Amino acid sequence: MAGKGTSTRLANSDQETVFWVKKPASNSSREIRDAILRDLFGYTEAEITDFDVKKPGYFYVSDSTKPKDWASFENVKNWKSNANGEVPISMPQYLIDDINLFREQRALSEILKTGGLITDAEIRNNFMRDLEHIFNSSGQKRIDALNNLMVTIEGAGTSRPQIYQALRFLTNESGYKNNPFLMVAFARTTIYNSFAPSIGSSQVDQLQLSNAVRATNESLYGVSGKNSLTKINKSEAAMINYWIGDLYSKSKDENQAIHRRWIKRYLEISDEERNLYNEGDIIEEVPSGATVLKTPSVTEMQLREQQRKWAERQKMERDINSIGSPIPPSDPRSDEFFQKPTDKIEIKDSLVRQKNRGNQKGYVPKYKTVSVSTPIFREANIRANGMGAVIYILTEVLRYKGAGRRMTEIADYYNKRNWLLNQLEKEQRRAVPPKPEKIRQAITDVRKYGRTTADFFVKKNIPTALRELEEMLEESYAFWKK
Amino acid sequence: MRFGKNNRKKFFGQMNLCLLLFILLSCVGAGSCQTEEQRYETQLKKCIEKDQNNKEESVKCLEDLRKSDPDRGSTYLILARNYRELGKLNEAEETVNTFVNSNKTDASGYETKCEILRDKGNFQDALLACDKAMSLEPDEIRHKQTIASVYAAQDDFARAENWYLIILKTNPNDQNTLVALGRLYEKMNEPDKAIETYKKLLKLDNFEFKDKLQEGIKRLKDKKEAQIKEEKNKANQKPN
Repeated sequence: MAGKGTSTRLANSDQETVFWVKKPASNSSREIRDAILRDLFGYTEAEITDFDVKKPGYFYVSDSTKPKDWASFENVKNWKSNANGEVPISMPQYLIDDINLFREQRALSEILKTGGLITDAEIRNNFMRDLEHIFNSSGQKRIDALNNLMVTIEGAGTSRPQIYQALRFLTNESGYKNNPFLMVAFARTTIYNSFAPSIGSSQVDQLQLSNAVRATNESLYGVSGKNSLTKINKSEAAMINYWIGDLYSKSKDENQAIHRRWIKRYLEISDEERNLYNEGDIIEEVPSGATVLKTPSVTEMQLREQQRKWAERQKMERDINSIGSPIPPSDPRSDEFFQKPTDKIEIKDSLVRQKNRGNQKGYVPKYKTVSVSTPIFREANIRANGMGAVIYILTEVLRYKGAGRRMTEIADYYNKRNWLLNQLEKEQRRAVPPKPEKIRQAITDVRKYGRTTADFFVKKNIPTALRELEEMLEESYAFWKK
Repeated sequence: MRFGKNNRKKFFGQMNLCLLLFILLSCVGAGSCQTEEQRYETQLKKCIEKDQNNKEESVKCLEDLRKSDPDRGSTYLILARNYRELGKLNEAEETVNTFVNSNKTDASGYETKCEILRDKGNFQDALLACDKAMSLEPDEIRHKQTIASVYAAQDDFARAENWYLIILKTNPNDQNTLVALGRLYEKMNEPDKAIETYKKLLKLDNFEFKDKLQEGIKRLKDKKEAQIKEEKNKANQKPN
C-alpha cells in the first residue's frame, strides 16, 4: 500500500488552478517553485536555499493541467456537496503538501487568506503553533481565517491525542462550527487515526472506532451515544482499511514510530483517563501535586543566561582541547566507558510496578529493570524484556561508542557482554510465570465482566489487558509444559 | 528635672533617628533589607559563581537553594544542567521535568531536557523535546545546535551536518557551531573538512582559543599523516 498517500497522488496529478509543492522533477519546476516562494510568500533567496538544505530536493511547484486520479481532492468535492449547500469557502487556490515545510507563519497566513488546502499537516511539530499565532492575532480576522481554512490531517505523524488537541482548540473557535470542510476533515481523520493501530483484534477495533466516532460527533455535532457508529459507511470502512495498510507499510518510518508510541500510551491508560480523551482532552503527563514555580525575574533570567554561556564556553574549551584525539567525546562520559570494565551491573525485577497490582503470589514478572552502572550507562535504568534488553544495551554501546576503538577494547567489551548475559540468564531462571489455569480464568473474567481482575493489570484498559494475558498464556503453557 | 514640651519633642526626635540608624545598620549587616526576590538572586549568583570552579559545590549550593526556596524555576533549570554535566542523568531528568511542567512556554527547559535525554540515549524523546523548544523559539540557534547534536550522538551524520550547515547559512561565524561541525567531521573521519572548518575559526577576531585550536589542528594533521602512512604500509605488506 506504500506510495498511495496524498504526496503520491499529488505527484501523479495536475490541476490548472492549484499549485502544489512537491519534489522537484527538473530545474524548470524548481524555478517555478522558487518564484512562488519568493513572490507569493515573500521568502528570500537564502531562505529558499535553506529549504533545500533541510530537505534536499523536496520542493516542487506545478501549475499545469488537470487532476486525474487524485482521491484527496475528489473527497474535498464530495465534502462540499455533503454540506447541505452551505459552503462558506471556495475551492483551494493553493495546495501545500506537508505543512511541516512551511513553518513560517507568513506562509500559512497567505494560505489561510487565499483558502489553500493543506495536506499532511504535522500538528506534532508546528501546525498548532502556527494556528495559534494566527488565531491570537485578532478577533474577527482569525474567525475569517478559520472559515477560509481547509485542512486534512492525514500524515502518519498525526496521532489521536494530537487530533484531539486540535479538535479541542478549534471547537473553542466560534467560526469553526460553520465550516463543514474542516469538520468533516477532522471527523474522518479522527476515525482513521484512532482505528489504525488496532489491527489484530476486532474487539479493540470496535471499541476504538466507537470511541472515535462518539468523540468526534460529540465535539463537532453536539450529539452523543455509541449509535453514532452506524454513521460509518462502506467507503469510510474502505478508507480505514487503506489507512491501516498504509500505516503498516510505513512501519520503519520515524513518524510512524512516534505515532505508535503515542498510541501505545493511549492503550496503556485507564478507562477513566480514556474518557477524558473522548471529551476532546489531551492527556498531559503532569504529575499531580507538581510544584508550581514562580515566573522568573529579569535578573534571574540574566543569571541563567550567564550560567549557560559559561557552560558553553567550558564545553568549547573541552572540545578544542580534544581535537585530534582518537574519539571525539560527544558527551562528558564518553571516554570513561572502557576505563572501568568491572563496574557494577544490577538486574532486578520491576517489582515496583507490580506492587500496586495486588497479590503477587510468587509471580516474577517478565519485565526486568536492568540497571547498568558502567559510566556510559551510569544511573540508566532500562526497563526491558529479558535477554533482548541486554543485547539492545550492548548494541547501543557498540554503535554509540565502539566505532574507532582499538580491538582490545572491543574484546574487553564483549567479555563484559558475556558476563551480563550470564547474569541475566541466572535472573531469568528464577522467573516463574503463573499457571495457565489462572491466566485463563483472568481472560474469562475480563471477557465476561468487562474488567480485569485484581491479580492482573488493574486499571489497565481491556483490550490491552486481553492481549497481554493471551501473550502470558502462551508463555505459561510453554513454561509449565516442560 | 522635668522635661518641657520642647525638650520632650527633641528627645523623641533623637530617639527616632537613632532607631532608624540602628535598623539600617543591622539590616545592612544581616543582609535582611533585601526583598525576598533579591535574596534569592544573590544566593543564585553565588551558586553560579561556584560553578566556574567546582561543579559539585555548585550543585550542593543549588540543592540547598531548592530546599530553602522550592518555588523558583531557575534553580531547577540550572541544577538540571549541572546534574547533566556531572553525569547524574536521572536526577537531571527529574529536575528538568519539574521545571518544564511548570514552565511550558520556556524553551530553555525543553532544550535542557533534550540534552539530558540525548545523553541518556533516548534520542526519540530528545528530538521531541528539541522540537518543542524549536516551536517556542524557531529562530534560536542553540535549539538547532542541540538537534544537530542529537543526530550526531546517534551517528546520523548527514542530518547532523545538515543542521549545522543550516545554522551557518545565516550565522557563518557562529563559533559553537563551527567547533561542533569540526568535531562532527572528525567523527566522520573527514579530517580535511574538519581542518577547513577550524581554520574559519582562526580567522575570527573574537575567538579566544586560537592557540589551543592551532595545537588541535596540528594534532589532527599528524593523525591524518599517521593514518596515511599506516595505510601505505599495509598496502606494501599485502602479497601480490
